[in-house]
Amino acid sequence: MGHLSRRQFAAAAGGGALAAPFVIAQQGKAVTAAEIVERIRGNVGVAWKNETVDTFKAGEPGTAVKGITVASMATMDVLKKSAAAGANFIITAEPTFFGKADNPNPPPGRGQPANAPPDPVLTAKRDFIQKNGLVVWRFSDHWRMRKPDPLIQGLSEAMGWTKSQVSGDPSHFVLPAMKLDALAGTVKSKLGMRGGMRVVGDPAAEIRTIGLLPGTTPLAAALKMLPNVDAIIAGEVREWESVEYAQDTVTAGMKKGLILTGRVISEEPGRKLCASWLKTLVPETRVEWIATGDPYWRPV
Amino acid sequence: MATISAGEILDRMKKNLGVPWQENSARDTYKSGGPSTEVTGIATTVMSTFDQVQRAHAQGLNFILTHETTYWNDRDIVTDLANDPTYRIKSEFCAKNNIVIHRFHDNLHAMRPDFNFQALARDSGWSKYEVAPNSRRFTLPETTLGALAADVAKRLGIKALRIVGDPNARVSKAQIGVGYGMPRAAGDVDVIMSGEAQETDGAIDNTEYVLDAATLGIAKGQIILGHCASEEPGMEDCTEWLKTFVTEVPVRLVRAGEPYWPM
Repeated sequence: MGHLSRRQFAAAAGGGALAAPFVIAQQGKAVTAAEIVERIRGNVGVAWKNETVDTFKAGEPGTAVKGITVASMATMDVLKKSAAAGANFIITAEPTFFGKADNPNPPPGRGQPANAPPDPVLTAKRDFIQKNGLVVWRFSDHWRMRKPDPLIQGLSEAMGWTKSQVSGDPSHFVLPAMKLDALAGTVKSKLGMRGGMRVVGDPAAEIRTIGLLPGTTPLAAALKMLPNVDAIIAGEVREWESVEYAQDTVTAGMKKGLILTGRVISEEPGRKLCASWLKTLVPETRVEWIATGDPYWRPV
Repeated sequence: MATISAGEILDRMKKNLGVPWQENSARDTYKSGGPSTEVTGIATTVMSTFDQVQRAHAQGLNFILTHETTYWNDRDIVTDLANDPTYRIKSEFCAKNNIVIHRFHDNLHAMRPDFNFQALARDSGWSKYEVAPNSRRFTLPETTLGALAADVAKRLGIKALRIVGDPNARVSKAQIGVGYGMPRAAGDVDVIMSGEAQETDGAIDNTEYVLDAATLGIAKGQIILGHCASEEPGMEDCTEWLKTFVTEVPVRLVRAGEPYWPM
């Protein structure tokens, strides 16, 4: 019956109501993507928002899940590796279809005619998902609302700093003194970075106290944190905001540093944590974290 | 020597802009001092960091014309900064030394040609390949993304740039932006280049698009220069323009360079 559409199949099976139970009976204990999302909603520990990006982005929510991969970003690379590993449910922190709107069928872009040819990258990605029966669901808003902040927790675990945490403040750490460039080198190697790292401050500045700002953060976060630490390790900030603030603080005579890793890289360890959490929640199927990796390189 | 005030210099800029001055710009306002201050010299800069302010002052230039922010947010709102030690030190330095700071952003970008686009193309060595004047699109001699990025880095004298895409991708059609405006990687363009861009979860996520193109073997590239790195060349053109109608006092570009070092 491979050539029948879902609708034809439902009709042949005697009506729409029968189609779904048949699939479940056939699959035995298989759990669907929708059922997993329901479990997540019930266990995440924060109230589910009405307006959220945490929705299905591609595929059929009723698909029986053979394996789950958890990623920072469901890139083509992540999708291919997931499918090759036998996973068909990808849980991503970032958009899949190149924008917050995450529309797999976006209208032609500004300046493009209405009859513009289909975009080859978007089409290939959509087709790959369909051909391989993948389901993509975004899990970002609610995961990061958990306390303590899983992004900070993940990043501090990746750095091996959990025992150096300042009591009462999960984002601050006190470490043996090291120079800013040595610290940046450690961050780069621990997070498996390529060319995305950029640093503000005197490379020889002595750093003892460190604050973490994973993800993307506004000036207000740096204003609050920098006076209380020697260096901030941040994902993404704006050059005319926290970067200029850090520069000015250094010029004003304070020995400070700002290490920027890039947003995806700063969030990767928090996704690893998410995968561990899901393992306990979905024992029926395999759950693996999969690296998105540093998007950037720079000329030698 | 004839004296000139900051307000008089602004008036001359308005007369020479070539398009109506946007009086209602929330960006292009005084950040320190005001129109009546007598100007000893003009320092142009891409960003009025504290270092730039100090260097201008050391050269005897007390009117700083900056393209970007002074107090770390787009509107230079300082109401929440009163107790910040860095803000206190910087603002007190400006007050004590009679420094006037005025932003020149929206009105600079309204000019045609836009200094910053024109100068970035020129300093990158791309001007002669522009498909039409001020189109910001270029048909470059075909090269690899890796070779192109290395060439641009060398010409602009920058090190902390970041590239997305396959270094071996063959590219020719390019489009540039400046500052925080990155063109779309989708469509009839191989490589896009600008200053700064949101990494993901924005209106158009070029980074993920270019990563996916690379996985699919479709030739695309994104060159992220750094915000100041992309707009500092234009401040040189701005300086030359100011010199054509301000002759009473020195007018000098104070180079900011890259705020970052790479690792």
